[in-house]
Amino acid sequence: MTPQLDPQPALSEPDHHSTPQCAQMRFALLGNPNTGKTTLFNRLCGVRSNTANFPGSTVEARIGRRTFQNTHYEVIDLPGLYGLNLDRPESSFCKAYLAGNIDTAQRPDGIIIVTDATNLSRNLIFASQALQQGLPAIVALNMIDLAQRGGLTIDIKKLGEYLGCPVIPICARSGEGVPDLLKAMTSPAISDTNLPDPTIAQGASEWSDEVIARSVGGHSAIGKAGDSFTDRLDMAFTHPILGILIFTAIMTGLFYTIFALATVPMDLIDLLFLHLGNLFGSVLPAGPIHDLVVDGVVAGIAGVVVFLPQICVLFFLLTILEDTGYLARAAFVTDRILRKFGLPGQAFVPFLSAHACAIPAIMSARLIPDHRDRMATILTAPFMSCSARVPVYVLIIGMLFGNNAFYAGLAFTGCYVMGAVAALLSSLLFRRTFLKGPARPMILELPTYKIPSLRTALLTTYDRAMVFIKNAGTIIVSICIVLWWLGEYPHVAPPADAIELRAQAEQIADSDPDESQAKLQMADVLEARHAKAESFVGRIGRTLEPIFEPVGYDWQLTIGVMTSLLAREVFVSTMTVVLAGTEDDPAEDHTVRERIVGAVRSDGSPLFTTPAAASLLVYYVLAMQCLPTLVVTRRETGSWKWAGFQLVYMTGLAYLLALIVFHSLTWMGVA
Amino acid sequence: MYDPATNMKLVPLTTLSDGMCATVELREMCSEDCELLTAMGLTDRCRLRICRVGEPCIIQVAATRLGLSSTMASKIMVRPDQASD
Repeated sequence: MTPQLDPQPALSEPDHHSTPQCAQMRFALLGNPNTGKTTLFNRLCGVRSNTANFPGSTVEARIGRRTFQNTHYEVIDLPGLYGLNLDRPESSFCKAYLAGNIDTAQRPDGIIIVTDATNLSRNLIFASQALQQGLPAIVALNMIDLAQRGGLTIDIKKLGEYLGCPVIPICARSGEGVPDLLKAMTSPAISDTNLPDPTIAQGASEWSDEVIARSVGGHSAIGKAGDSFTDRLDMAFTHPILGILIFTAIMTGLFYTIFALATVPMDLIDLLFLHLGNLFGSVLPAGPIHDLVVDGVVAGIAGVVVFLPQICVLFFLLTILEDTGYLARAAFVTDRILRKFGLPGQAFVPFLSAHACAIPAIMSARLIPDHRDRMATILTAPFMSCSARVPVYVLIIGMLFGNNAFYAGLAFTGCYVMGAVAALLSSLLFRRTFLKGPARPMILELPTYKIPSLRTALLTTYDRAMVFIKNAGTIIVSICIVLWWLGEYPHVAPPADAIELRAQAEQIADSDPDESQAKLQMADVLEARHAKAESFVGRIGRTLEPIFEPVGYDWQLTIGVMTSLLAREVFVSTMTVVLAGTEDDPAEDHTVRERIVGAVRSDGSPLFTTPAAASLLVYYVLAMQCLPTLVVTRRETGSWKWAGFQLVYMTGLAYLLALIVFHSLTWMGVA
Repeated sequence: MYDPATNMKLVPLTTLSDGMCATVELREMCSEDCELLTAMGLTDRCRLRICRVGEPCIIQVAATRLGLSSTMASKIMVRPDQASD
C-alpha cells in the first residue's frame, strides 16, 4: 500500500497563542543522524525555538513550541544518535533523559521517532530501542517521497501494527504529512508489541528484516545496485588527490566568502555603533554615566555584535555544505592528514574558520562527535591566525621588514604557518597526555547527496546567532565594561606638561591659531597617555613589567599586552595612546606607525629593537589575547577550567617562545 | 589476496577490490566496535558493496554509505561473493 500524504501545510496555525485552557505536552524528537530530524523540528516550530544546554551538562538541544488543536506542545530536538545502548555520551544522555533520570530536566510526555524511509532496515532497529523506553510514541516516516521514487511501497498500517504505535509518512523538507503528524501527536501510543531484545544485535536485525519483508514492497530496489550518480561524485570528492584539490577549492571559496560577505556588514556595524556612541555622547552630560554608556556599554555591545556577520555567514555556508552531503566527504579526505596529529577529519572546519575568527570556529567544533577530539580542537583552534591578529602583524612586520616586501611577505606567511604548526603539535601533545584515549578509528556515515534546504540553513544560522548573543554576548559585554573601567579609572589630574601646553596655546590663540590648535591637540594626547598610565590597567602594567621584561617589553608594551587581552587589535590603538609624546622628536607630526616605531623607553633607548619586535610578533601569533574566545571556550566545554587552561597554555607557550626569540636575537647581536 | 576459488574463507574487508560484494561476519569483532557498526547498519551477515578501496575506504550497506579507516576495515571479516568480481 502506498501511503497518501496530506497536501503541503500552509504553515498556518503557527504557534503559541497558548491560553490557560491549553493542554501542555512535551515531545522529544529522536532519531539517527541524517534522518531529517532537525528539518522536521524546523517545520514544526520554525523560529519559535531556542537552543539551550540541558542544565548541568554540555548536551545541547533545541527546544521549540507549537500550538495545535488547543494543545501547547514543547518539542525538544535531541542530538542525533545511532543507538540508545551505545557507549557514547549522547546515547547515555538520551537514554537517561527518556527514562526521567536527569534531575534537572522533566521527562517528556512522548517521543517522535524520526526514521528514514529509504533506510528502514537500520532505522527500525533504532525505533525498536526507542519504543522500549516506556513512553507514548509516534514514528515519523520521513523522506517518504524519496522512498516512493526509489520504488518502495510501504504498508503503513502493517508497519504500525508491528511497531505498536502510529506511523506517519512525512516529507519534512516539503512539509507534506506534517499536519497528520500534528494530529497524531494528540494520541501517541505506548508500544505493546513483541519487540526484539535491544541487547541482542542479531535478534534486532532479524526482526527488522522480517518487518520489512512483511510490510515493505520493492525493498530490494534501494541500495542494492550501485548508485552511479553518488558513486561518480564520491569518486571525485573522496579521491586522495582530486578530493584534496576540490576540498581546497571549496574551502578557499568558503573562506573568501566569509571575508567578502562579512566585511561590509562588520564595517557598517562599526559605523552604526560609532554613531550610536556619538548620539549618546551628545545627549548625556559629561561624567561617569556618559563614559560608562559611550565607552563601556555601547562599545561592549559593539564588540559582540561585530562578530555576528562572520558567525552568520560561516554557519549558513556550513549548513548548506552539510545539507548537500559534502561536509562528510570533506571530513573523509582530511581524516588521513589530521589523524597523524590525533585529530579527526571533522576538525578541519574549526581550524579553517579559526583563520577568520576563533569564536565561530570553536562553536563549529560541535560537528566533532568524539569528546576528546572535540576538546583538542577547541583548545588548539585559537592558535590559527585570526583576522584580529592582522593589524598587529602589519604593524610589527612593517617595523621589522618595512623596506623589503619579500621578507615582509615571508614573515607574514611564517606567522600563519607558526600558528598552524602550534595548533597541530599541541593537539598531538594533548591527545597523548591528558586527552589520552583510544584513537577512535574512523567510521563515518556518508549521507546521500541532496539539494540543500535554504530554510534549514537560515533557521540554523538564526539559531547559532541567537546562541552566541544570549550566552557568550552577555558575558563579553560585561567583560568589556570591566576592562573599560580598569582602563579609565581612577581619574587623575592632568600632567604638568599638558597644563603648560594648554597655557601656551591660550597665549597664542589669537596670534597663531594653528600653532595653538596643535598645542591643544598635543595636550590632549599627553593627558590621554597620562590617564592610561595611571589607570588601573596602567598600574597593573607597571606591576607586571618585571614579568615581561625578560621578553624585551617595558611597562608601555606591557600595558599594550594587557589591554589587548580584550581583543588583539586593541594593541595598536592602545600603543597609539600610551606612546603619544614619547617619540624621539615629539614636535613633528607623526603618523600612528611613525609614532609607535619612534617610541622610546624611559631611559631614552628605542622601544622596538629588532629582538623586542620579533619577540612581540611571536607572542601575538601564539598568545591567547582574546577574552571573548575564552568565554566561548567556557561555554562549549562547560567549564572555566578549560578556558583557564587554554589561557595559561597558549600564553605560556607564547611567552616561552618569545623569550627564546628575544634572547637568541640579542645574543646574535641583532640590533 | 583474495582467491575466488576459496570463497568460503573469511577475509578482511581491506582485501576486496572496487565494486565487489560480500557478506559480513562480525562475530570476530570486539563488542564496542561491533555495536556501533551494527547501529550504523553494518549488521552481522548483511551484504555490502565496496565503493572505494584504500585508506579510508567506502562501503555501501543497503542505503547506507560508510567511510571506514583501514584500521577498522581490516577488523571486519567478510565472505566475498563469487560472482561479484
